[in-house]
Amino acid sequence: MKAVDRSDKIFTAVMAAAALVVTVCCLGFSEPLISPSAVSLLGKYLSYAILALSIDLVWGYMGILSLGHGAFFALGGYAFGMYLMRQIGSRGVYGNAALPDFMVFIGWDRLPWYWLGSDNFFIALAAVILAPGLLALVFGWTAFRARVSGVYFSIMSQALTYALMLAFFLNSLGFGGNNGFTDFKSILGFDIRAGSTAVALFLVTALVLYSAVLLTRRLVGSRLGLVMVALRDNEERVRFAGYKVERVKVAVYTFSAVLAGLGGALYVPQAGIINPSLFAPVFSIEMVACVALGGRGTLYGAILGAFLVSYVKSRLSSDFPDLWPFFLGALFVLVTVFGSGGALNLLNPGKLCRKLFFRRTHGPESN
Amino acid sequence: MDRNQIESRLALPWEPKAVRRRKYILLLEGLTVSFDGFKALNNLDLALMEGELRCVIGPNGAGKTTMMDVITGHTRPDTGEAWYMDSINLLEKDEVFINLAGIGRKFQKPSVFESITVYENLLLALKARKSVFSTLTAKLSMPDRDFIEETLALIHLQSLKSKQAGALSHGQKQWLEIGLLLVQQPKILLLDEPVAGLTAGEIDRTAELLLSLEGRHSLIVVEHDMTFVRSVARKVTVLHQGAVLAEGDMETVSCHPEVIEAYLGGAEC
Amino acid sequence: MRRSLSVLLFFTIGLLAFPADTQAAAGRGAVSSEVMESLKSSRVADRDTAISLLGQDRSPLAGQLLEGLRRGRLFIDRDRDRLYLENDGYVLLWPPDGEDNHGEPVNLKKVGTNNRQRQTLEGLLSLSALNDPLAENRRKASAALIGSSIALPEEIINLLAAEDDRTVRDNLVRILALSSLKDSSASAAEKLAALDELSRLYTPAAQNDLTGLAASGDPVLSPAARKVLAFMEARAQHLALAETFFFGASLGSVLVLAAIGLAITFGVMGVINMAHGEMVMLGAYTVWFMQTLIPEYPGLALILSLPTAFLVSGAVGGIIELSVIKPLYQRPLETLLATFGISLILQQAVRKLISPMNVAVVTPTFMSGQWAVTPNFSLTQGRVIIILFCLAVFLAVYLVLQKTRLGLEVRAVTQNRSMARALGIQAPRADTLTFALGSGVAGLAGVAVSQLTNVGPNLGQDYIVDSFMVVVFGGVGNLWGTLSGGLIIGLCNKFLEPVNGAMLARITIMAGIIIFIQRRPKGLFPPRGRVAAV
Repeated sequence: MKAVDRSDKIFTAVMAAAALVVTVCCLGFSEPLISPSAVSLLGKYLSYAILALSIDLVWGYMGILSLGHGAFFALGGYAFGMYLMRQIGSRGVYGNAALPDFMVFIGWDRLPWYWLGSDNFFIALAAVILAPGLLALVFGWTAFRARVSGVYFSIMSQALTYALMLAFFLNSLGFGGNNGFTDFKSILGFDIRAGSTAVALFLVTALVLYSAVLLTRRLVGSRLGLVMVALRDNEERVRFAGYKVERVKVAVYTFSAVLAGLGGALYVPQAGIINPSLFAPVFSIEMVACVALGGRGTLYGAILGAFLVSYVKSRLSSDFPDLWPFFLGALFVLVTVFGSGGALNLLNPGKLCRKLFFRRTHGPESN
Repeated sequence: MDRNQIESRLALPWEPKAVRRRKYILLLEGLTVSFDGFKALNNLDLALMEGELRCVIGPNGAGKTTMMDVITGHTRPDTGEAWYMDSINLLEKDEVFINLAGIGRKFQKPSVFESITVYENLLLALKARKSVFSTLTAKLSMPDRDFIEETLALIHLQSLKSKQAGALSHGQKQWLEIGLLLVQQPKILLLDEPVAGLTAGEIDRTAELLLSLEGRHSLIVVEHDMTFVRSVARKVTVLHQGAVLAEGDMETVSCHPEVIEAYLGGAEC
Repeated sequence: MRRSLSVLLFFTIGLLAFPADTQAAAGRGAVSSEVMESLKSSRVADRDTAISLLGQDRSPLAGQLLEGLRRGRLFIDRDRDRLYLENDGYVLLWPPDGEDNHGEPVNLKKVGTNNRQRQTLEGLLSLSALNDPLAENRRKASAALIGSSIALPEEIINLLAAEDDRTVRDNLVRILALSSLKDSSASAAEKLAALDELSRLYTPAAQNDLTGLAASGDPVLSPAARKVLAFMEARAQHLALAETFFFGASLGSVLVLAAIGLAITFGVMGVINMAHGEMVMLGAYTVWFMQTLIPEYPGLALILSLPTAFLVSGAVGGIIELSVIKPLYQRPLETLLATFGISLILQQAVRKLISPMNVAVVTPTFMSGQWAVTPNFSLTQGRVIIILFCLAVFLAVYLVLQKTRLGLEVRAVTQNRSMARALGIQAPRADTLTFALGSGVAGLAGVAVSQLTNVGPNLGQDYIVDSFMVVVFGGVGNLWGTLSGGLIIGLCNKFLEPVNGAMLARITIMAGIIIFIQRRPKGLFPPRGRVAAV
């Protein structure tokens, strides 16, 4: 229990320090030490970390490997992207105040019904929560009630995000097809390219991540957290202990999807673009790899993993673009073959040694 | 179909229903379960009295585990009836409902939650409101804490309560699983091979434990270990090929010619 | 039929009522004075006379004159009654050389024709081309005759009887029937008989004729034509259905091919191989490699690729199993991630070593030809072969698993690993071989896929999700399920495509399968009994 408190303190300190440093370095000097684009990049990593956190919650604790969590991230992103598209107004290429450029391009003359209200920030925020939440609720409820579990669930979730990707590629769906949304101009009336906006977005993302961590820590520390871990060990036994397993799973899965959606919503303004590639199964699996690398079932590990992988990815893919897939592939193999301790083991040499030199007596999955 | 109709059709080997109604906590009638033509249960009847300790024996494939699957709602029978406390039709309920209604089950293969501690195992199984929200906000009350401690003492795991359950020995896991049942405070305990793989000393202590539960709980114990069965049995039911072959006290059963042929072997009587 | 034709010929002869003795029969033919006079005349009607006279003339000279007239290259020297053909200078056609064949042509005048005459000429030339020994020329000629209003000579019925080319026969029948239908003096019964002839052709052209007739308002013919049309439409719908079915089956076969390997590794062994798509990709690249090795014989290279691809993918699969999967048995989710890493590495290796672009795979002639079942229903040979190949591979895998020692060991290990071991089965060896078998079959699928789509580093990614869906949909651990699952998905896809487009069809299928699995988690053919319940 003591170690938990210590890691909480370290995390709080790191987040506070990061917020302070970023704010001061970007805005405190006439010649910024950290450019606004770098701040946005960091903010993007933080949004990935939120997604990784949500994956770890279901995978690390409940043993449900979702290969389609990117879909919830992307849905949140699209929901918020709609708001950002409406904010462009008449500043688009076609100068049409009512319609986003891509709709003018495909010859639509008015907004489809599901775009109504998307110019309102709060409605957009509700959509950010509802879109992934409802999808997770429906998908999770039907899947868990039918006792689709283990690899079957993984494959189904992958098929879900794949089908969504195909759907979002369609121009006729009204979400910009291949190109998605981009060329955002402002958010809540502030210029989206201003340094101060970048810092503000970064701070909001950091705050959301921080609260998400506190919330999930509370969750996994509760008796429900105990049930989640027990589910991972032996689902049938949990049922015979009187818990409605499906409901527990759906509740946590939906919460996790909403978290992922929030991450996606924060990702869009900082990345400046959203397109169907976020629905690609590869993206989701990459995020799972982040969690595996950081160490599943630790929450902080997921965040660390997301940060490390994103950083290495952006460095490698700019300096040695050919090497990145090799690196990522090797990472997958090494992390899985050499146990699931993850990067947090590096902070704990004793545990690392044990992991490396002694085989585990029992795996996290019993079958 | 009306239950009375079914009862009137069956030639039951026991007392008339008017007497039964009051006394039996669990009543199985004419259960048949088939997997791909193989009949795991074949017109099985069984009645359990309140507070009774019943031993069920039988060779492998006799249908002992399938019977427990049916009682707990895990498997649905093709035909037959299963009533709990005369008012609850078990065949219409799911596992969770049946469990919360007071039927606890210990699996054949010891199944405890390996990656949490012994104490947490018991905490999890503890009788409480088990909806998602109340589980999220649950706090441990003093009586509950005492109850867990008592149970720990009963299953001899007090000193190991902070240890990961996965690290326990086989016998300790068996006990922990019995402990998981006890903290749920069930009316009926279904124990599938509770002493498999235990040492002689452990078996004696388990027998002691089960006898101490008799009266407060109803128990169905499925076991292969005949010494253990002898030491706890009041009434024994012998299953063979999915149906009841014989029922009675240990003496009667072990002298039953068909039982000897099917299961016990010659030397017992 | 015979009667209608004879009636037809009667009219034909009536139209061509010119005395036969005006024709010179000797040598290459001669030009009668009547022809010469008509050609000299500047009146259009006279030229008509000349053309019809020449049309009855079967001599090569007449043919040359008609050809010259048609191409506007016939010149006449009116003063000296000479005919020249302009062809890089002037060639004297008439009178035959020897007589006064000296001196340069003087005072030449082109024999002009109008549009109507040119059409008649075209018809006459086509008629004579019907005697051409080359079937190709006869086809062209008969097709050209269909639209022409040229009167038909008696011999056409002999031609029809002697004709052995199907297309030419169809065209001739149609010509005769059409001319009978257009003829105002033919009786209703004759016309109906002609209509009957037409309707038996089942060609789109004949259908057009009938549509015209149906709209003509003729009291007898139009209802009859409408009836025939309705019948033909129903038949066309059946054919369209059969075609969709065929395309569905061929798509389904590809899915089944890609999924069989997965059904072995995932279904039988319980190993999630995310690099399965890359095994398919390796198979497809093997075809490319073999064709680069022997570029002269792409067909042979394709056939040689079959064993090679099986070995290449099988070997890579075996290596993966030994190095990565073996330590991860009983941890399926970890296997999934590790093999995903391998798939990334394999893709990138292909990009680096070969090319990030698609490579060109040749489709040999026996795969690209059309197999005409009826004139308006033909199947691509390649797709037929792939359907048969899929069934063959399925059968082979089925037999290997059911009848061989390896199959027995695999099934034993699947059902009870420790028991199988106790019986002396080397479980690790069986695992490796099975995994190699599954990967090898994926390689075979790659060979088939290379004939249908672009071969590139991303090829595997296109198939992996679909393959998993097929296996899960069919029921894990059941090869028959994989076969029927794949075919059902393929068929549904092709039947949905006309309704809402290819992309939406795919999405619909995906969603459909997801919903299906939520309802029946064990798929079409669930494993049953106590094993399934555990």
